[in-house]
Amino acid sequence: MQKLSGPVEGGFSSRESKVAIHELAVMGAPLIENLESDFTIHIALGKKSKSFLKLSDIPTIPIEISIPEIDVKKYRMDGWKYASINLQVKSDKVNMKITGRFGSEVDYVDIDSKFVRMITGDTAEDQIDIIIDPREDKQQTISVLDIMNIRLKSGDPKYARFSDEYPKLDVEAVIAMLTRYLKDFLRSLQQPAQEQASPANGGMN
Amino acid sequence: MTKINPSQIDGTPIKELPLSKLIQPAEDILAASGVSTLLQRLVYTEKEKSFFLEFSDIMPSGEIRPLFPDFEKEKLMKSNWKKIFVEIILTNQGVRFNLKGHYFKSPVPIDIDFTILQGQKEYKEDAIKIFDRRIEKTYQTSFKDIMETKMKTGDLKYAKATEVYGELTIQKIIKIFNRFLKDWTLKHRIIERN
Repeated sequence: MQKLSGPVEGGFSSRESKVAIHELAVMGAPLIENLESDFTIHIALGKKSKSFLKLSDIPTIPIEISIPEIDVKKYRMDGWKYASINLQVKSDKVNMKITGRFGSEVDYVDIDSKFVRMITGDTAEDQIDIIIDPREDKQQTISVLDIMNIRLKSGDPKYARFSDEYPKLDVEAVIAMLTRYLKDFLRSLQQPAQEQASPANGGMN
Repeated sequence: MTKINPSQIDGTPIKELPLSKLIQPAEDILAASGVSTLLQRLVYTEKEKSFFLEFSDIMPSGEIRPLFPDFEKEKLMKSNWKKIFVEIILTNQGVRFNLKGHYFKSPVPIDIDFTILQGQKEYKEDAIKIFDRRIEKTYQTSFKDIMETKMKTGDLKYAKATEVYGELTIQKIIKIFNRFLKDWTLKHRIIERN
C-alpha cells in the first residue's frame, strides 16, 4: 500500500478554507468525470449532525473536495431546530437547497430555499420560502440577494458580513446570513404591533 | 489525475482478505484525509446503486482514498436481499464491517443488522440482530455462534471445518451469513404462538 501524504503535506484545507459555492463545481469536475455522474454533498444540522457525499459508484480517483464546515452547535443555539443543506454538484452548476425549521417548539418557521450557482459564477435561481403557517398558506418569499441588500440606517449591511460578496458567497456565509435574518424575522412575528415593520422586504402571501 | 483501485490492496481484491488486513491501510487513509472516522457505505436496492462517504464532526482536510470491496450487485442480491447496505468504517480503533438491509424469503420478511469490529488483533465486537417484521420481534445472535452451530452429526452447519473465526475473508463472512439466513427464514416460516 502506497504511503499517502497527510493533510499538512499538500492537503487542500488551508488553501481552500472558504470555497465559493460555484467553485465546488470546479473542484468536483474530476469526480464527476470519473463517475460519469453528478454527486451530492449533504450536511445535516440536528441533534446528531453529519455530513456525507452521495456518489453513484465507488470512485477510482482520490477525492479532493472541500466539505463546507458548519458550526452545528452554534447554529442550533442560534435557533435552528434542524436543517438539511444539500449541494448537488453538476458539471456546469451547483444546486444548493436548504430546508429546515427555525425557532422554538412553539414559535417557528419552516424554510425551503433554492440557490443555484452556475460554474461561471452567475446565479440561476435564488429563492427562500419562509413558511409561517402552512395551514393558512402563509409564507414569505425572499432571496439571498434581498437579505444582503437590507441595510441599517448607517448604510452598513444588516445581515451580511462586510466581507460578503454576492458572487463569491460560500455555504457558511449563506447560512450565517439567513440565520441572522430569521432571528429578526421571528422576533417581528412575535411582536404583532411591529408586524408591518418586518425586517424583510419581500411580499407576504 | 492519479488513478487508484479502491477494491484492492497490493493487487489482492479486498473481498478476498480478512478484515485485519485493512487496519494498516485504514490508518494511512485516515491520516491522509485528516479525519478520525470514515464511514463508507454501498447501498444496493433492486433498482439503484449508491456509494456514501460519511464524516462525523471533523471534515476532511486532505484527499480521501476509498477502500471498499468490489461486489457485483447480482451476486450480492441474489440471496434474497431486497435492499442491502455494506459498510466499511475506518477508525483509529479498528475497522468495522456492517451488513444491514432487508431480506425476504417468502413468507419471512426480516431486517438485518450485522456488525463486526476488527481490532488490532481480534474481533472486538460481533453482534447480529434479526428483526421479524411480521411479529415485530428482534432475535439476537453472533457470527461466532453461527460459525459454531453444528448439525446432529457433529459437523459444522454453516462454516467449513477449515474456516477459522476471526480470519475469514469478507467474501466468506457474507457467504456463511447468507447460508444461515436462508436456513433461519426456513425455520421461521410459521409464527410460533406464545
